[in-house]
Amino acid sequence: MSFQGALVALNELKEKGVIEDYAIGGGYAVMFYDIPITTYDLDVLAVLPSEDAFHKLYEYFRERGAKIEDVYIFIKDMPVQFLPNYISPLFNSAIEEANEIEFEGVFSKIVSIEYLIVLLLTAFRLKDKIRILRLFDKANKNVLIDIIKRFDNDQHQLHKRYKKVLADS
Amino acid sequence: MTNINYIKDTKKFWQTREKARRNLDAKRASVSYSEKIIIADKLRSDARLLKNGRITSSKSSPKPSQT
Repeated sequence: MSFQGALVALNELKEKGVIEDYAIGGGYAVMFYDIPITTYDLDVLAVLPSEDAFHKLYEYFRERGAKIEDVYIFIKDMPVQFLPNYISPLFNSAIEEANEIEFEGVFSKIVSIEYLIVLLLTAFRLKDKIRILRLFDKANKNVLIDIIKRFDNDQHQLHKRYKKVLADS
Repeated sequence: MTNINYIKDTKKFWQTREKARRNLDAKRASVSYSEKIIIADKLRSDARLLKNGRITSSKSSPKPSQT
């Protein structure tokens, strides 16, 4: 499994127009901003114009003989989960406002620490709460609150969850 | 990126993904000891690469350790 190899493949996908843009999220983003954690998959937030393009993405890899299990596409033996931007405006903005980054000569994008926290607030499992607490002190609070205000809704209850994390810390 | 048709009901989308993640975790947990060593080595290698990552352009805040 190669994280760097997966990044090269993702950049190729972008060059070929299979995806318009992408940003790393999930556990690998947590590892970048904080400490190593056990995570087996790479979450990739991807800009795709439609659900049809999402299906074509799987088709692209299937045609090239890539292993596909459940939602995972194995790129360079690494299980990659694509999270399309049309899930919600939050995902779309997380990609648009992602940081550009270089890993030993390979260029990529990674969601900002503030967006990462808000994405963790949407999932809000026990492990997400622990990760939020670790990331919280490193985030720009004004930026974080602004994102929460912009994307709060009944489904995610971002502000309520944010307050709960603060109260528990 | 105009006229994005956002998913109206994301519940099923996330349920599918959570189930897939649990399956993957279960598979990784059931591999042999030698395979676990390989996975652990890979995670350490990825962590090293991530640690050496450098933000080249930011629209919000920089990596804390780089401030």
